Amino acid sequence: MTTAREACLSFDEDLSALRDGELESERAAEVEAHVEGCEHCRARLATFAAVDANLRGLAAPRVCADLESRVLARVAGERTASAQRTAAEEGGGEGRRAGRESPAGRGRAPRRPGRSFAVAVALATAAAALVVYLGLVRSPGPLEPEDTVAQRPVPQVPSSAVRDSEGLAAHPADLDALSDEDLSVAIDLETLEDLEVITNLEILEELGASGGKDRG
Amino acid sequence: MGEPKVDGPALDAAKEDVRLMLACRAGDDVAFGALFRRWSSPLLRYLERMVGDAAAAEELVQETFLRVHRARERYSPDARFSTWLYTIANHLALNELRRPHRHREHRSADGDDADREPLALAGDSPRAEEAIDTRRLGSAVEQALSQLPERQRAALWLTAVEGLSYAEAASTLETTEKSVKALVHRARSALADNLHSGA
Ligand SMILES: [Zn+2]
Repeated sequence: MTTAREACLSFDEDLSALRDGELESERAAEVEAHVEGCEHCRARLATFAAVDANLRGLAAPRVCADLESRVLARVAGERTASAQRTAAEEGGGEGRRAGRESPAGRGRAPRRPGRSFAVAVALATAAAALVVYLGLVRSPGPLEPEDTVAQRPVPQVPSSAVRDSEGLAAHPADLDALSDEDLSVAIDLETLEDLEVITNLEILEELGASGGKDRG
Repeated sequence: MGEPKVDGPALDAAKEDVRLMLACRAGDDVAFGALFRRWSSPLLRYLERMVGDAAAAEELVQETFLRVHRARERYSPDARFSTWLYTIANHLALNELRRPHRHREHRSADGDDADREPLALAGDSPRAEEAIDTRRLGSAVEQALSQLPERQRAALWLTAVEGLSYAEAASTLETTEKSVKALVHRARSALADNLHSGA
């Protein structure tokens, strides 16, 4: 292996990007011109190619034959559960719908903010609470600051809160851009889904208890 | 930077994914099954690399597809299906890795178990042994890969093996293209050094 010249260092990262076709054409030409006359960088590119070939050559695991049927069964199960939930919700909303269809009846509110709106608000609140919760409780943020990443086989639990605030501070913009529902993908899926169920139950209870009497 | 690396057959495949996902969104579970068959193997491969545990990876494949199905009505075809899929999978993988009581399969750096496979399959049936043997070929790079920080590992795998562009990988890993570029390079350099040290 030939030794790197000073100049090579400034090209090193771009060798990867060149290989991946991710350089602007002007820079690509520059890097290619250097590689042309530099044995070291040519060798490096060849090694990168070997690395990628090795990775692609790793045997793909065989997907267990019944995995698909297990997934499909769970999907079907969820569909049934969700259909039952919907039916239950519609059952619970019967009185209100009747009220809307016959405005004269019992003076119930003909218009109210959509339930989906109420759910969205509740969900947003739950999500916000979760963000705070995660900020307080969870130690490793989802992001490792790239620049501090050395060869670290086992992620260590950060000893300071600095990592914490970094991890989460990096996120609010992202989180804002997502819908509440997307948050269930973006944050902690299981936790949020549990919250979603709880929130739905609370709303149902609330609706049941108030019976819309405060809206007439 | 930023042009998706999609051309020819890959483009056709991506279009087919979109078609299937739109059908799935419209309630077609057959299309969902087809998506599962198209993607379960690469996804399992990715998740195995990420969590280093075949059984956990399989469980995460299931979870990922359940998430896909739950979120089907919110799917919009402005990103490749695979990018969306890997984003979900990556969140699940990172959550899995963050579980405090998780038994880590990835080898520690002390090297006293240098001959142990990092991705030992569950159980010690003959079949599992056989499967491990077929992996010996790439085992040096495989070992080095398993020692990389998870985001480096993810970035390199998603781009070099799964063919995501830096922009797509950035979206999947919720970071910038610039970071992806650095992550990919660091990972590749580490594996290159490993290759050269004659491992
Ligand atoms: Zn050079």
